[in-house]
Order: sequence, then structure tokens, then C-alpha cells
Amino acid sequence: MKQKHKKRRVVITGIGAVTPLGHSFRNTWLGILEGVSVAGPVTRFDATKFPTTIAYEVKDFTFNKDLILDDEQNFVNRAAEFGITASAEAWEQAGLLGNVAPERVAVCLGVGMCSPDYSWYDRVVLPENFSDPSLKNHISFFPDQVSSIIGRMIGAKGGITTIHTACASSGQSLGEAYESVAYGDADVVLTGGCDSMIHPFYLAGFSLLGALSKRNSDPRTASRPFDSAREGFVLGEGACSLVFEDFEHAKKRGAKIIAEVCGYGVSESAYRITDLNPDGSGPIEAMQMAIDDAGIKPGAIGYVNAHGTSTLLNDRIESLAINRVMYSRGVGPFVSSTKSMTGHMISAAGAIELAFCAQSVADQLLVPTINVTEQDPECEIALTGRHVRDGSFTHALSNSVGFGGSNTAVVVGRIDL
Amino acid sequence: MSSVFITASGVVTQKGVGLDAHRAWWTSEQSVSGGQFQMTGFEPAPYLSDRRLLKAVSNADAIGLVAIEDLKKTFSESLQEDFSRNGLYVGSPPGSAFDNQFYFESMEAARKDGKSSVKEFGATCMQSKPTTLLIGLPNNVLCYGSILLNVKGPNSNYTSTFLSGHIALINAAKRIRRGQVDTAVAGAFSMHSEKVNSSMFEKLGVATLDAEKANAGGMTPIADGAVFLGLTNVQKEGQKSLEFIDGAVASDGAGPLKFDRYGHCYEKLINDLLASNSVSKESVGLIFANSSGESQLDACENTVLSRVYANERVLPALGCSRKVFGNLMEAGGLIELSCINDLYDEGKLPSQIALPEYNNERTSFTQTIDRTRPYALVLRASPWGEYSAVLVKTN
Repeated sequence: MKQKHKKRRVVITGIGAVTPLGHSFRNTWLGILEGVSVAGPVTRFDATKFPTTIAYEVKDFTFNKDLILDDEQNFVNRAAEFGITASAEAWEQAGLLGNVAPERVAVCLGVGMCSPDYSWYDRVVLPENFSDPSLKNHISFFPDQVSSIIGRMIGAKGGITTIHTACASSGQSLGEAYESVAYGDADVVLTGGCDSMIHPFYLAGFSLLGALSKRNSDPRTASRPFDSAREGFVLGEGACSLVFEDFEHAKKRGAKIIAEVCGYGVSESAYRITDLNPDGSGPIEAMQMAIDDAGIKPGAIGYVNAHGTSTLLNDRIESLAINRVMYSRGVGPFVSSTKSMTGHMISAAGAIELAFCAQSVADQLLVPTINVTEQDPECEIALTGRHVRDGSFTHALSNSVGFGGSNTAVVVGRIDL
Repeated sequence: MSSVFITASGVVTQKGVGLDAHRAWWTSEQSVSGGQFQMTGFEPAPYLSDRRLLKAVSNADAIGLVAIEDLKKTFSESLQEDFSRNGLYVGSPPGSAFDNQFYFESMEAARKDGKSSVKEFGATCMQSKPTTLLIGLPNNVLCYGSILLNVKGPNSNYTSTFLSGHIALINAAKRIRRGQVDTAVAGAFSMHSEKVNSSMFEKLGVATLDAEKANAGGMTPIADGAVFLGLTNVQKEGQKSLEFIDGAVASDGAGPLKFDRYGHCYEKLINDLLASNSVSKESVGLIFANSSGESQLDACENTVLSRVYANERVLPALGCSRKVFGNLMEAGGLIELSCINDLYDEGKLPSQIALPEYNNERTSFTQTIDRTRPYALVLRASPWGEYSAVLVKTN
């Protein structure tokens, strides 16, 4: 038995989001409770000749430039705009301004492979354009720029970390933020993720891999996790930021606590870059580790927000893994995939899905999976159904699985003061 | 709390592959003269046990994988049979389409009247390789490295530019200290020598490919390379190793390309790291400064170190790796850890590693390493106002 270190309790005191469902966490949550899909044809560029022409875009979003300094404008891309907006919302909700020592505040974000516009590439890849002064603005597509700006916004002097493990990026950032507070390296960490892969390169790249749904004629039902007729995921975009805080610190200042972060698990499948091992060992290891870390039994988990991408293999293998870890004689937690409503927000997915878990635990609600008309019999899990419903549970778990084999699981619990 | 030992290194730089190819650079006087630190034209295949790994990776990834293969030669026996007790922590450059010829071939195929049509790209790109997206994924080395090493435990991939390697190392070591894993591989790789990234850094006034130009312009010389370290919780009897004592990060919170010229946070980071581990300044025998060549950042670091050691009677040896290896960017701050034991054996820094430029009327660091002062500090600083420090102890 390995010696375990004493950990501090970690709580969530702020959540912010920009998603296809809304430009704040509240509006996003209302969209989830309504069970709506806002997928539609790609409008950001002419995608009509791509095999997949649909996505969950963040529409009508206007970035509030007051959030950044004038000289930061060249360091910001679309995903960063989402991340900065979500972080401002989370930080405001947490009410930490002036209430925490800056050197005890850190930033840990999962940030995606953001790329400049196609037309920009078209211009700069010509050798004669390497002298173009605008080339320096390419720095905005370095993922750590958004972390740096958010660090400046909140005055974080306790270190800034940026993570990329594909679809597990923000799951991983949440886990590392949690451990940072739990083991006393920081009192507060602003964590989460942001991404926007609705871009010609990535629409093409995912299409070449056969990962995307081609249900172009009916975009709103294209993301259908665990359904027998699923045939790929639908790209989303956006950001979600959460404030993780030491429980005693939050209690002392009378902060409103949304939920407790109880455990984190992380594993590497070491199998193939795009596929899970069919035996589900990677996610199994991560989920078991998170549950052990939380100091609870698997039966204490009442709700799982699955990675649930709506690809054939992910949903089948993840179901197997959830079943192995948390089901006994066919009985286990309710499961949903909110990607049916948000699309796959890639590096931001783990963060928004943990936020849904936290709000679910706080409100005692089980959020839906929409678009399931016939559950795949090989996905032996209890789905929540297509409408939100009341629940009674103490803990929820959020899964993330990334290209490259990183698997994460984060457990949140109902706050018990 | 478990102890952490650095027991193996895998190193790839423009100087060669493997620790032995580098050793002369810190164990004897060598002439260093400008030039470049790029690895353009490097052929990774001969160094890889499974060349299929090169099918869907970038040039940068290939360097990282070669370093992991190099590490594996001396570290595979240390890995646990329970693969979940081994961790892998990687620092990587950001994913870049500039390292991906397939996108650009498709763009060219979609070009009409001098302009590439995004609409047509939708069709032309479908003629490309199925794995196009995967080339340049920032976490490729984490993925393939885990397959090479059969490592299935905790892991992460950091894209924090100048501090990535240190963050990977510090987090890996923390996991061992907490008993969450028994062994870990931690390191980073970097390759910013393609035209767009290097031009961008130069236009920002931060970094350039040419070492002489860097020197003249107060910029850091961009270097390609990869360094991975093997960490364990057990020091084998008679085995030479370096004990990882602790590491920490801090930030000015000033935003992109800004840092506190006075270096308050940087100074506090160093002082706190020593104090929290009950290590006196006197017992530090060697410091590897960041000294990246960025004139303003170096000036800041110089004043920070002067203040840290202002009241000390005996100063440690002070060195930097930049003149020999360039700035390994994401992978920076790690090769220093591979050479500390050798330097202690030698008892002095060769002139190409020494940093007399930081000496002034108040502080005079030495080139001589006092073996009775077993602690060494490796510092990393970024013009983005982010700092890291790693504290180790020689055996």
C-alpha cells in the first residue's frame, strides 16, 4: 500500500463559459436543461465541398475588448476570446478580486491547436511574405498566450501552465489544478480550457480520419452519442473556466461554493494515437484512480458525464469501461453525453462537462443525452433520457479521452459543509 | 514523502545523439563560435527501434522520439512492471500546420488565379493522407513515447513555451514524491527552425536562428533539440544519480511579452525554493542561470542573482548552456541536469559554460565548483514574465 499524502479539500467557486448554447455558463446551462441542439451548416468559411459541412458554432459572439489591454490584441485568437470571456465570468462569480494573495493564485488551462485563418496561411507560406510585419501576430496562435493574458487579468503570480493532450486537454488541466490546490502549491487556480477547431485544416483532418458525422442534411441530430445510428462526432467550439479554491480559504471568506472537487485520475492508453484499446483499460484505469482518490466507492457515483463523442468505437469502449468500473449486476450510475447539445469542444470539452457535473450535483438534476432514438445494445449503460430529470446523488464523474491516449476522470461531490 | 532521483538522460541536439556525444562540451575547454543550433536535415530513422512511428509525426516530434529511444537504453530496466506506476510528462512546442506538407500540397492544389480557394480545398484535401491531422499534434511524442516505453500511468503534455520542460519535470517529480507513481520520464523537445515561427520570434525581437545575430541584437539563439530524463524513487547502490529536491514556478502576471524588470517574483521564487527545502545559499555550489541572451531579461536575472547573493561570503559557480547549445526553447533547462554530476566531478566550469558576464563589483560568481556544497539550482526565465527553478543535490 503506497503512502498517501494528506490533501486539502478543493471546491469550485466560479464557473464561466462561452459555448454554442450561450455566451455565459448560465445560458449554456439553460440550453442543456432544455435539451436543445444548435448544430447547423458551417458559416465561418465555405465548407460546401468538405465531406462534413456542419458544426456547433458559437454564433453572434462579440468579444468585449475591454477585457484585454490595447497591446494584447495581437496575442488573441478566436479561442482565446472565448477563454478570456469565460475566465472573466468565472473570476467575477468567485469574487476573489482582492481576496487572495497573488502568489497563491495560478492558471492552468487546456488550450487547443488554434490556427490562423486559411487566407492568412495562403499569404504567408509564400517565401516572399516572410518579411511581412504581420507575421509576428502568429504568436497569437501559441496556446500559452491566452493563459498569459488570463494570468494578467487575475494577477496570478503562482505560475501559468498550458496543457495540450487533444480532447483530454482540459480534463487534464482540471486534474492538475485540483492537485495543485489539494497539495498546497496554490490556494486558487483558474482552470479550464478553450478551443476552436472549426477551421478548414481541422475539418479536413478529422474528415480524413473518418471521425466526423456526415449527417449534413440533419445537423441537429448528427451528434447522437450511444445511439445505434451514430457515425461520428460534430465539431464544437468554445471555452469553460472554473475557479478551484482551497475549501478553508473559500469558507473563511464566505464564498458561495458550487461543488467540491474530490478526485482525479489520469492514464495513458499507450495503444494507438486515435483509438482506445478495445478492452477499455485506459479509461478504466483513470476512472478507478479518480474514485480511489476521492475516497469513495464506485457505487457513490450517481451521474457520469461521458466523453461520449458519438463515434462508433469511443461510445462502445467507454460504455464498457463505465460498466466495468461502476456497474454491478446491471445497476450503476446514470450516464449522459452533453456533446449531443454542445458538439465536441475538443480542448474545452472536459472543462464544460465537469461544469455540468458540478451544477448537476448542486441542483440534483440529471442532464439529458438528446438524439438517442435507439440505444446501441453494445453500450450497456443507463442513459439519463432525452429530458432533464430530478436525481438524488452525492457524486458525479466526468470522463475525457484524448487522441494520443490520455484519459482523465474527475469526480465532483455535493458540498457538505 | 518519496525521494526522487534523476538516473538517466536521453539527449538530442545539434551536437549529436546521446549523452556521450555531448559530454566533451562540459568536461573540457571547447571553442564556441557563433553559427546555428538547428537540426535541419537530421535523419531520425537510424535511431528508432520502430520506424513506423515516423509515419505521422512532424520533424520536431521525431527529435523527441529519438531522445526517448536514447533514454530507453539506460532507463528501461528502471520502469515498473505495473505499467500504471510509470508516468510520462512532456513539454512540446505548439501544434503547427507549418510542419505539415500535406496541408500545403492540398492548398496548392486548390490554387486558382494565384489564390487558394478554401472551398476547393474541401475537395483537394480529401486526396491527402488519412493521418494528415495527426502530423503536428502537440501530444504525439507523449503518445508514441508511451508506446515505446509501455508507460500507462499519469501523464501530461505542456505547451508553455520556454518553461515547458521544467514544468514537465517538476510535475513528474511531484507525482513520485507523493507516491502516485514510482518512476517517470520527463522532458521536452523543440524545433522552431521552420521559417514562419523563426521569423515570428525574430520580428517580436525575442529570438533568432543565427547565434551571432542573436548576440548582436540582444535576442536568444533558437536551438532545436530534445532532452528527456528518467526519474525514480529508488537510488540503486553505487549508481551515480542526481537527487531532485524540489522545483517551483512563478509568474509576474504581467501578460504576454512583459516582465517585471526588477524581478521581484523571480527573486522570491529562488529564495522561497531554498527556504522551503531548508537549503542555505551557502550549500549551493552551482547555479545554471537562464541567461538566454535576451538582453533585458538577462539584465533582470543578473540583478536578481546579485540580490539573492548580496550578503553571502562565498558564491557558487555560475554557468549557462546557451553559448554551447543555444536556447533549446521548450526543452531548455534540462540538459543542465544531465551534466551536473560530471561538472562536480571536474570541479570547475569550462569557459564555454561559465558566465562571468553576470559578475559585477558587488557579486563575483566563480568557475570553481566546491564539492562540499552539494546543491545545484537550474533556472529558467521567459520574456513573458514566467519563471521556474529546479533544485537538485549531487551524490
